[in-house]
Amino acid sequence: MTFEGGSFRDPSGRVLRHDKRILRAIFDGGVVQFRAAKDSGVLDEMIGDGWLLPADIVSGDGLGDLAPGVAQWLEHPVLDYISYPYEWCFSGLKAAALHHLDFHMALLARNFTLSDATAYNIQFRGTKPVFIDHLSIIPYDEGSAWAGQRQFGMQFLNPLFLWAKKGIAPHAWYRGALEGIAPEDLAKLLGWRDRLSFTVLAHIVGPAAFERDRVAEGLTGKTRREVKLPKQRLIAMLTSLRDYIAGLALPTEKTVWDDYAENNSYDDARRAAKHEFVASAVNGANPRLLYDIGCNSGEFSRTALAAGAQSVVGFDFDLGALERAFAHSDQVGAPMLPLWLDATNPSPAQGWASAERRGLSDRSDADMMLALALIHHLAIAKNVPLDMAVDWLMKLAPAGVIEFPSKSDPMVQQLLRHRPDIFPDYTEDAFVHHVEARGRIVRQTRLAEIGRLIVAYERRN
Amino acid sequence: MKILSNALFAIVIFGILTPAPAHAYLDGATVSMALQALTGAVASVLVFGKIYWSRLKGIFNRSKISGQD
Repeated sequence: MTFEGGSFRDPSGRVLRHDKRILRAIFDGGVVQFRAAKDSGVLDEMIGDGWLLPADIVSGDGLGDLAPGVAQWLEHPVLDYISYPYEWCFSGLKAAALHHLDFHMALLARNFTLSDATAYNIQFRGTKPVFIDHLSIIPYDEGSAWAGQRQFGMQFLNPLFLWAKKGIAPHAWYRGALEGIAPEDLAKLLGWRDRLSFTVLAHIVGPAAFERDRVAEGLTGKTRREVKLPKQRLIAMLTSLRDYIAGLALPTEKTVWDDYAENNSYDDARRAAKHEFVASAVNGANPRLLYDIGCNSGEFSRTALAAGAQSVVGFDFDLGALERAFAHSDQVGAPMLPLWLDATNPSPAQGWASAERRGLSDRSDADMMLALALIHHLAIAKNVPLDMAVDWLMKLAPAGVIEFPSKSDPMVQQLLRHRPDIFPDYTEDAFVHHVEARGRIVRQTRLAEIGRLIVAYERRN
Repeated sequence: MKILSNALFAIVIFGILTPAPAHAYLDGATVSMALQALTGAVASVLVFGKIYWSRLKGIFNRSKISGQD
């Protein structure tokens, strides 16, 4: 049994993993609110409508030793992959923000509300967001404040604003500050035009001023007069925020890989051969979860899904490519989640006790991985020794497909165009040797006369 | 403009920067009840104004279309 490292802030309950099951322990402090939600039917209704992750009440028989003082146990389905907001593409973060607001308003209509607004309470099934924290749902007190306003700003609105209005992807900042981007920091970047917006004044400038005032006041806080927020006004505030976020869009910016799917060095026959190779490799392995490292717009993720992969997490460092992958998957409802990844600096284990948010490789067990047209970017563009690149990739999954473009390949030539070739060890023989040192090559082919070797491996454990 | 907007907020929320009562595990002192009350009031006008405006436009457009018939 292990408690989830990120489930501790709300003392009403904790999530734990036990025998590949996901259980939620509800303590005395949370059971009254949980009962109120359960008995009202709101939980079942929200689960039925797809807003909320399913939850079954389970008996505590045999679970008592796992956590003392548990008043109620719940069991949830295991999600394929836990992702974090600093890994989502723009459309992902926006979808999560809208899901949060819509869910909150659906709850308010049933006289319930949310105790917080953390983005870590949203996860994805494919590209569809789902709310995962059942204990955040509490009865609504007429006139009460939106407790999560600052949190919503820091974890949804402010990163989206920075991205859409300033053209700055928030990942580095967000990953370094797990609680998100503070309004008092973001306010310093605002120009006068930005401040003409009601949403910016109400949800960035105002909270920033409030926080400055609060800090300046220190411990000598004055008693202030009681103010109420009628429910209709709370709903209006959430609605206007929803409208604002729904209208946010990325500035159009051409990226290096924008045309890659169309203009790379493959002709149709070679592309078809690559699809065929991936399909036959996946078909044999039938993976539950497949990682597509360097997924670009998800072209080969879709091939893997069609060949029998149950779900795919696609990783790429190009945000434009991820947007296209998200849009494709979202359109057809494919179980493919595109996430941002710099393979030379993957998400670390971090937060409280370095366990609150898990590292990339510690979150799920992928059965298979694809690394197509990737390894030269690690070995040549990023100077990662070839054996280390192969080692990292093969550790991601016990089976997979790796494509190796040799130095004569036009894409590799391009990487070497402005630098001396200091990579004598980047050879096909060395690549095959490194793969065979860690596993068995079960299938291989060449995608073009000049070069690209593609292999399917099974790792020795 | 930056000074203006900050000044506006300083005037509006001066003395009424009421921390919200803490009903949840989050620190209620991190959100301003007065700011939310003000935001909610303005948002009500904007949101319901938008609804009535689109209804008004709808009536106008309908009458224009029926006029064309």
